[in-house]
Amino acid sequence: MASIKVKIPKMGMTTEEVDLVAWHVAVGDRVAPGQALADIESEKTTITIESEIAGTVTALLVPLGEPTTVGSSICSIEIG
Amino acid sequence: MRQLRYAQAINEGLRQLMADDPDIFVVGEDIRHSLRGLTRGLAAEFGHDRVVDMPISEAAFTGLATGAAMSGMRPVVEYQIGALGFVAFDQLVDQAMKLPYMTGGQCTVPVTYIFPASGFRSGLAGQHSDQLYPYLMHAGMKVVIPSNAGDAKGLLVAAIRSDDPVAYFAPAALLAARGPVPEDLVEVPLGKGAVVREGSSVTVIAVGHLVAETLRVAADLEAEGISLHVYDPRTLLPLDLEGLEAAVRKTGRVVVFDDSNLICGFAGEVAALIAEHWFDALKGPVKRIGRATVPVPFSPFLDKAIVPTGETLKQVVLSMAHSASLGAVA
Amino acid sequence: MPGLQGRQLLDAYRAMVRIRLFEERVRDRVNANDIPGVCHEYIGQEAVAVGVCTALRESDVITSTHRGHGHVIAKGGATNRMMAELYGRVDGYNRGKGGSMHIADVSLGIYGANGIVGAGLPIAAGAAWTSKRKGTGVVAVPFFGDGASNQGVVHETMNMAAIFKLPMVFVCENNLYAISASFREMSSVEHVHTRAAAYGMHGEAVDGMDVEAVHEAASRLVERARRGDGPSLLECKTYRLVGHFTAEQALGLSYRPKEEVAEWTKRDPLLVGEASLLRQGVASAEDLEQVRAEVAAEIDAATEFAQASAWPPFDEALAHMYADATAARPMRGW
Repeated sequence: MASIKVKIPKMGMTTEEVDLVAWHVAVGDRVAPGQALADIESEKTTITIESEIAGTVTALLVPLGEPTTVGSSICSIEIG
Repeated sequence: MRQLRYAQAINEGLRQLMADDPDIFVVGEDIRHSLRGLTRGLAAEFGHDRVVDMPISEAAFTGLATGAAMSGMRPVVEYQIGALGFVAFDQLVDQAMKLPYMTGGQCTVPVTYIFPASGFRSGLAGQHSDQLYPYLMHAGMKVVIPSNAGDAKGLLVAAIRSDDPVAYFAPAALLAARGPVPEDLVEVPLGKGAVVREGSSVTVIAVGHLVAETLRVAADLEAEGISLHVYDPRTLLPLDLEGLEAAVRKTGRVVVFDDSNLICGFAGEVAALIAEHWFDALKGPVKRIGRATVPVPFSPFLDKAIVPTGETLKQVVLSMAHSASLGAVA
Repeated sequence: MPGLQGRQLLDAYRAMVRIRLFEERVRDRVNANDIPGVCHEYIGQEAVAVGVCTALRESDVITSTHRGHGHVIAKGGATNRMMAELYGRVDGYNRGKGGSMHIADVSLGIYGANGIVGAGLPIAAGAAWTSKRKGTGVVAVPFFGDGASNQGVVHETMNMAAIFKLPMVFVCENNLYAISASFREMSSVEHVHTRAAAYGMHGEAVDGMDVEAVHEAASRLVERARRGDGPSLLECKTYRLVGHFTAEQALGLSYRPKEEVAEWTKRDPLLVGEASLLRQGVASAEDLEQVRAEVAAEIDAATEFAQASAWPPFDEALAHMYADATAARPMRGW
């Protein structure tokens, strides 16, 4: 089965460092397109990252509350 | 003390000041939705009469702030890009800055202008990267450039409470940086610098985001037996001359580390002051580090070639140490 | 809206005479090199400043232009302190630090003449902003010329005033020339007031040589602004009966046809005002002569006041740069 990694999108002209402040899913959860995966907070704003596909969460790659950077992968989802 | 990000510290300062003083209002572009993060939540809390999105008319809303200030308000103007100050230049330096003087002290213009100070983040290219403070200082405008989250809040308090126009530069590179921030409105006075690291070999006078860069370089150089004394002027005008003199006298070897253009830049002003007044304290020429006077090129590779970084500082300090030791041999 | 009645009309005439005689004295003193620099005389446009300012309260705010003496006098400025300012003396309104192009009396709502064409408009908008937020009822009136009507910040401010419904009346004094450049050549439209439509704002024109007509139009628009019905643009068709500045005659500029100047001279606002006063029987020829004599004596006294006033003390050059003089002193320069 193919899987994808969900990445933190660019959030403006200068933002690089962000915090993962909430997980809305756990490993093993089924997700649908548009479903909230995690909340990311920058110095400017908080955004919710949603799944673009239907599948199953196979790994959370950033612990809750940890700083990470724009472009990093936060979780893996197995398609299907 | 609790830690906040730099942008959050500004946001909290604005919120508390606005709650205290109904005459404070903020104008700018896209500030209701807080595109830059500084006014986050403020439109909901204080309403659209006090967090006001303006049409794209920087000269006009800068002038509006002047007239509002003359008639009893205490406006804050947020510019989305530093270079927008060029668009509003007449209203900044020829109107707001001059009216109190030209009227013989009949009025005050208590406006705070919040500018992004750019640099250190590549990809913004020629018209989004300029450092405007030397232009404004040349006109006599008070300028602050906080280098950490705590000063970001404390200097904002001082700037907004000042009865003069004050240009407040918030480096883009620092907006996400965390640091201890007092919960209350504690003013960091205008015109007071700070020693941020004690050292004995070379004094580095560092500005804005380059203070943190200098501290990183200082840790590296310690291993090589070079001890940096790091001084943050915090307010660029009026300069803390006593603090500056003490920092110069501490080592007698001085680097001014600034991210504005070298020609007629801040580093040149500081170097000239040192040479004029404290020449006796110097053990060698004052070194200036600034930007090459070209528009900042887009390519990250080229950007790094002209914008000062910690690596630039390291090389300059090492070359000073090298020539100093040669001098000792001769 | 009642126009200027009886005594008010005579007072308006007196204010116009005060401007005229002040300006004639200024020109004389500039040419004698008694007053430093040059001045831009308001001669010919008196009906605009007086017609508009008689529609204002003392608390209302105006911003002025490089040709600002008339506005300051009409808003209640004292001729002796104005003259002292032109002389660069310590008793001047600005303690000698502003001169002709920057005279201000903030306590009278005069936020300054301005040396940059169009720059006063957004500052007036700021005063209107405060009025709206604090509910003081103050109306802000920026004066500007036909030349300024092509300045970017003027258009920006009109749009801004319209969207926020600021209590303002934009008063354009279209005297047909921006120094030597005629409005016809420099503008895409025949009238400045039609540009108001571009901002969804009311605009109209008035005979700027007739103080009663200006007063009537200004009163309507000021009250409209005070009621909260937003800004408007009043274009006053006027003419300066002299050159752009005191030195123009010496330069021998010839951008205006003699016939044109002669035509407008017939409509000198003082002549128009005198005719109306006599026609209405408000004043006799002797009354008008007495007004002129009284004002002439006032201008003599103002000139003597200025000439007797001391130079500002040397420290004045570095004072008032910052509100808190102890925290920040400007550098001396050497």
